Amino acid sequence: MKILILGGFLGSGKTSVLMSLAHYIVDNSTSDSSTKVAIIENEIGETGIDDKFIRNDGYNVENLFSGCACCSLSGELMSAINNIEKNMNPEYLIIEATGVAFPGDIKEKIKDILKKDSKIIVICDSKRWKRLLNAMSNLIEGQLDFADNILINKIDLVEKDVVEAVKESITKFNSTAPLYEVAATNGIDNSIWNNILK
Amino acid sequence: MSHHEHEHHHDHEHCHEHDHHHEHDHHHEHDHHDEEIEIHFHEGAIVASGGREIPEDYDEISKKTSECMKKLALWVEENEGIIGHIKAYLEIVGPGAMLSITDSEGSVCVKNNDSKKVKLSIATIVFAVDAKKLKKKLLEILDDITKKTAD
Repeated sequence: MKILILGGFLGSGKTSVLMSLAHYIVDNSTSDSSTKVAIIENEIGETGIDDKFIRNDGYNVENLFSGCACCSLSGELMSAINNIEKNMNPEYLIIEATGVAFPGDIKEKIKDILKKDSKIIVICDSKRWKRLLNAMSNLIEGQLDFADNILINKIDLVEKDVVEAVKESITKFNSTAPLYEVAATNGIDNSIWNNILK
Repeated sequence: MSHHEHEHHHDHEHCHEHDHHHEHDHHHEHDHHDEEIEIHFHEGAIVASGGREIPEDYDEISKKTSECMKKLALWVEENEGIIGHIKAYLEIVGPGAMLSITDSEGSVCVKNNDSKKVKLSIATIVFAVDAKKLKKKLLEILDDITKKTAD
């Protein structure tokens, strides 16, 4: 079971990216596993929104509510991962973190406790980037720290020079992760997923 | 987690204790609606979430929800807050039926419930806004969405 962690600030487009990724995995899987992809949805509130949408599209979704998988719900996350591996053994497990989570902390806990590796994909909101960076620099920086891949989202809503400025800003925090420019609501090209998942 | 445990964790303080303050209306209907929205805190974010089932046309509720979400976003910004994310999910609940049988010779009794409702779930994650005012605003939003459209 390969584990992918989707991180990024609130409203950056994590769920849109997740839907594209899940579709890609299902369409391109060569695995014998009957379940190609399972999803863990973490919401800080008590009411799930994204999980309903994802489940309605036919995916297996486990919920973690009222807390954050990188800290308060880390125990529950470990249990959920174990249960999914035991009961479904999907080819891929996608963990959609909350918008205030530090995905690096999730990766570290999965490695320390479950001895499993995972890959972090962070989604950045190009439309609100400057505003969010001004207001939430510690959180944004912390989210980018351990990203293995970074998707600069909502490029359809901004000018090219804004995207370039966002790229330059991101590389100050993470100079090694490949950057991909996407407009997730319009779909993400398979070539991007080919690169990220290889 | 119990309420007692939450008292020791600032980040997870519940707004439930506020429900007992006298400033809140004691009218039964308001007490009932007050429970529709829960407040959580996490890493500086205020999370207000909950929902309601509304016996109205789906398209109408969808339209009203969109309008009200825009008003909520404007309210947050006018109060110098920062919007993290405001999101909602709508689903149609019903119609349904209850079927029952008590012996192999009898027929299956079918009781239809033809009512259709829209179940609205909403979550607002914002920063730098008063939590009590946010909860009050969200309850007002639910009331606005529930109000019957004028003929």
